[in-house]
Amino acid sequence: MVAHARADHPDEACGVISGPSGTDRPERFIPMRNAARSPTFYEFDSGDLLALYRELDERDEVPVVIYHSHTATEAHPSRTDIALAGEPDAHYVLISTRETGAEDGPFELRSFRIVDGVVSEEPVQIDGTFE
Amino acid sequence: MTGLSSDSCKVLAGTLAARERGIFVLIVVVSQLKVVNPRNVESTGVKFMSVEVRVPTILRPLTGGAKVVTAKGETLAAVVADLEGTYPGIGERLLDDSGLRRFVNVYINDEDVRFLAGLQTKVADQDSITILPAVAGG
Repeated sequence: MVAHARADHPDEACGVISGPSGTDRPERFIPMRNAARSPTFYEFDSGDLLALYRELDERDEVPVVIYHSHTATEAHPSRTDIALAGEPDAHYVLISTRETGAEDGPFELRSFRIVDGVVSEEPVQIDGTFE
Repeated sequence: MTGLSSDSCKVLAGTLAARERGIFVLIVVVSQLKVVNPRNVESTGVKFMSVEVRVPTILRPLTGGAKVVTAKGETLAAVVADLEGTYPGIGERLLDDSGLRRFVNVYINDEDVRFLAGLQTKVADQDSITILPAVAGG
């Protein structure tokens, strides 16, 4: 996620990490194109979105994590992020590249639930991969 | 099975033991039945449009948790109205004063209706409609 965010800086990067339905385990990293190609907005392409959800359905997976980057502001959901959040069961991960841009270095990565306009932050613990 | 002529079926059946023959004949009969889907035709012969609608997680509280529901209508607007009749509140989540909400994507089969005729898009019997909230933000 951080590498994707750096690669697309200064535009916002976005994607999902899917996992088996009902497990809440983020297992499969799926970077998506930002159809908006914007430093202040992201949106999955409409055709890509349908293809993604068809694939998830076929595999009985759900988007466990939905991530995107902020390239000039903190790693916290914006008002737009909150208004448009459409997956109440997902963990919304925000990465900020405002400090280092496309370069290596320290980064901000935070995770939130966004349900009915209410944002709650949750701790992030990196345990390695499930593979 | 469908490629077999009745003569070749007889020949094949003749090579089977009597007990197996009964099973063989039964399979042939079943495979040759024409399946009529009763949803396609009413007794009057008038078709009614029945479509499958895939409902996203965020709207499932309105459909009693159902992921796939059926609805009727000859256009997307009519399907949405039918859904609203069955699942009150769903219409408002899909539409605003200007029509389909900007961050709600609706597909008929594989096509985003924005690239078709929007709410006026014709719906054919057995079409599959998928509703997905845009994944977007700032």
